[in-house]
Amino acid sequence: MTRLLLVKLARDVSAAKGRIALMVIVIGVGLVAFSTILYTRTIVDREIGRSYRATEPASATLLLRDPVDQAVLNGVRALPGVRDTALRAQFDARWRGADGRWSADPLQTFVYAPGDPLRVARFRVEQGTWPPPPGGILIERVAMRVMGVHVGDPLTIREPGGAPRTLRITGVVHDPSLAPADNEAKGYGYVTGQAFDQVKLLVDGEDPAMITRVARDVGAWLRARGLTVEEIQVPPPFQHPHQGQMNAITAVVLVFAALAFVLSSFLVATLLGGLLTRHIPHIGMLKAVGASSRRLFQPYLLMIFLIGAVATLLAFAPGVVAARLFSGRILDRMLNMDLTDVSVPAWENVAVVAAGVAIPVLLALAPITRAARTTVRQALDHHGGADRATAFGKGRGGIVLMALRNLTRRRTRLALSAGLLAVSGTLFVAAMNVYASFQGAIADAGDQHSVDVEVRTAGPVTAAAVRGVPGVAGVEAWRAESAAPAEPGQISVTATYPDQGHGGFRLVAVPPDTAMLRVPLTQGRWLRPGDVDAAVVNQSRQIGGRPVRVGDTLALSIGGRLTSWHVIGVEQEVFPQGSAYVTPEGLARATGRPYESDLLMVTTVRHDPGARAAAADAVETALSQAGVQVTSSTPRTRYDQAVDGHMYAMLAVLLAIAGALGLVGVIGLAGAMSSAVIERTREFGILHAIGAPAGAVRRLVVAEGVFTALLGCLLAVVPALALTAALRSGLSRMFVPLPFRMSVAAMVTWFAVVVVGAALAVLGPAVRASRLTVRDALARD
Amino acid sequence: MTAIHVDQVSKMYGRFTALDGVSLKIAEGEFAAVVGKSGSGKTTLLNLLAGIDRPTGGRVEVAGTDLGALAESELARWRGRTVGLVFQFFQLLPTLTVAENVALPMEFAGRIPARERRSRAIELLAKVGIEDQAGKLPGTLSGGQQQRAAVARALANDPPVLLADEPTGNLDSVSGRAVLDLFTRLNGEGRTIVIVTHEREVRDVATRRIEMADGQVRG
Repeated sequence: MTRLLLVKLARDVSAAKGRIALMVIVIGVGLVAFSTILYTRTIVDREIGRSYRATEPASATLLLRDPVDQAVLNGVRALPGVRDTALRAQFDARWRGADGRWSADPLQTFVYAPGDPLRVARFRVEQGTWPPPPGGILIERVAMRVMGVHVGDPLTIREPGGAPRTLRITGVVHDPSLAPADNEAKGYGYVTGQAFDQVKLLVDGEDPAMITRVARDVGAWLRARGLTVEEIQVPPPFQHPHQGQMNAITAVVLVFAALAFVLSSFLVATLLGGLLTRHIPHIGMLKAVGASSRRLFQPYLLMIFLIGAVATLLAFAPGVVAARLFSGRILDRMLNMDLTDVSVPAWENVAVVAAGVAIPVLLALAPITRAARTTVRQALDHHGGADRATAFGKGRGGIVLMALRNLTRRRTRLALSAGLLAVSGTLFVAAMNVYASFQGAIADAGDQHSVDVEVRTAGPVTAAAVRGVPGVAGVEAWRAESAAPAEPGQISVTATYPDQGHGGFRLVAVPPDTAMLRVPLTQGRWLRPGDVDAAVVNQSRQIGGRPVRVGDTLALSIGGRLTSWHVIGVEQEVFPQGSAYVTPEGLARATGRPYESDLLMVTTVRHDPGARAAAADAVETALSQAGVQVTSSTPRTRYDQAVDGHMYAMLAVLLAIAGALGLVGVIGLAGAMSSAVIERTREFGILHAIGAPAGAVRRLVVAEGVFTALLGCLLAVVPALALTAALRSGLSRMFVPLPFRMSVAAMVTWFAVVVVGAALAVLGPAVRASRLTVRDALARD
Repeated sequence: MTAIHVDQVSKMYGRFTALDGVSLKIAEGEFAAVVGKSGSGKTTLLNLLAGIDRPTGGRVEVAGTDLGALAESELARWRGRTVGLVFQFFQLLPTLTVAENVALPMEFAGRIPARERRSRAIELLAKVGIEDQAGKLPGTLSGGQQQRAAVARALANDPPVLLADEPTGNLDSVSGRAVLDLFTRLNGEGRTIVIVTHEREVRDVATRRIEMADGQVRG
């Protein structure tokens, strides 16, 4: 490149510094979004693994029917493949604090031996000492907030079937191996005890098959000593219970962030195209005095390279800082983890820098090449005028028709501007549709389980016990049993996590004519009275590595007892908890015990949180008076809050990205319209010369902007539907089955934002156009 | 010696015939004024001589080069070295100073060593009488001064042929006269000059008058 072309480049940049600054900002914003999510994904993924591993989660937990002692544990530790062991117990308790009211949320309580060295499934004491003094309990730090308790507070707990006993909170622990208490709507407590029915194993290696084999060997060894092992739990090794959820969230957000960056680069290419259009006379002149296309290609390529480089330089640090803040927030809010290491691999930094520089250059190659190839003749003929003449609306007058004709005259520019808006609109509406799909899933989950209060009892209970209680509209008596896939002669192995929720499986006995469960069936039929070995299973369940089908036989262990079920139906719940539904008589036959319900499903007259809470209290009071001990009484509101807790980060980020995409689109339109006005300076001068008032020119430009916006909206409809369908499909596979939702609010919002935004965005160029004097316009070369 | 040889050249724009079988020869050192009414084809002819347009039929040879044999990039290089172009609206780059505008073709042609370009630009500006404007941007100059700068730029690589399209069309009479004097002087140095014009004064100073009408040479 020649020295004078460099000088020209520098002065061109200086002359167009507003536009260049806009390009830098647009690329920078896109790159910040992309790098933030890219880094966040890396940091969160690594920190989840690191924090989870630091707790030395048990490779396997063996649930025994009766307590075992330290001598047994010592024997287990000596078995092949076992690296370490621990004895534990746990129970879900009711609790009440200083206010004297039993809480709706259970307190999941983990029991340790006083001398437990905490080498397996450990936690970190943040306040107080471990073990706690006699009568003391430590509470997990997020649970402290959820429960609204403080160190020093008395805490009365009641184990299922036991009598209340009052402890004192003597400390706070941090246990990142568990899903956060606020997400699960429960508390976590840590106490010492004397009786233990869980053997936890640490096994060398991370292969689930190998861990299962070692655990089964341990189970066989325990059986040989007369102990009954009811279940072996092997959760996915070193995978936090929310790992899959986080992967899905960050993958979706990363896709949107990458698209936002590409969109911003596309916008820059459009803005550059506008700038190059202004330079066409210069290009023609340069060619007239001997410049080749290749020579002219170089300065413009250098210009976009420098724009990308400066944008990358400016965006790099904000991206890093935003990623640290964002990942810290995700880890804290969604995973109850501390951020300890914010480093990212060097290749990601290289990728961000390369993307920041290379993608704008790649997208700008086409307009630059086109401009550099402009011939002298084309340049001499260029007056910023029409791409193509059109007969649209020929012979008619009026600003509106004139604006429409102008749009169809400049088809390339129209395609770029409307295309940019369409891409922005597609991404915005698709993001909002995914948001709506998640909300729809939550609503569907509510419709599928039309239960307002779920009451668990320590002993048998009937629906009749609470009929007539004030606020109660309906009640059904159910029973839920933990179950596990079983093979004859083998101890059942499940993927249940230590919280006994994630990865677990339940057999739920429901009245066949239940009015509270409306799950959509994808195969077969629902339960009927008299079905004694029939089960309706969720489609996410697998048998032998494949989804269950009607006609399959399901072998399940219930409390160590082998049972067999025929799958008569496959259903699709939104948030499946790993359940199979059976009839009460079926459960009685399978367990060999008379059917006794321990779960009351209550619907309330009103469905607001206050009415649900009041009904929960009234039901509990009624049951207590009838001598039935309630172990938990959970209003639906808590479940909704828990679901919201799982979704919070994803929805917030999707909304933020959707907003940014909208902004990019409107900026793009403003830039494009500004270029159009500059190019058509001479035309506006002619309009003034033939008597057009300033207001008419202003209205003409605004009308062109609004029509472009409308076209952009129209063009976005089909791609938005397609992208929504693709995202929904991908997320349904990775996460939970999502309903297809079109967010009308999003579409109306986008329409309004784009049309009003376009009108406002072109107002500046329109005012400039209207103020051009005839002399200025016609003197422009 | 023939500087320009146009042989049976025609140029169509769609169905419109801008040039219809034009043939002419211009000898080295001639000062030719191409005259005619609007739409007669004179600017089209000049564009063909400058390699800005390509003929639909026929052959154009300028300074011994058959322009039809050159690719677009070769044409640009040839133009930079062989012809100097002057336009009605000056076509100076607004972000470069006057001297830089004049030096620009030297950079593209690469004939004049880099260290000599600036001084040569100043010399050329002195030749056209505006060396005191060398450091200014074109926008600050009068129309006459800008056109003189454009002439100086056309001389940058000492081309044997100067082509000018209505060079005085956008100037007042005094400035126009000064520019014509300049062309006369340059012709006196032996340069071949072809000017497309409506102006009577140009016809008076040219050594040859080429009359065009309806895409044909009429005299």
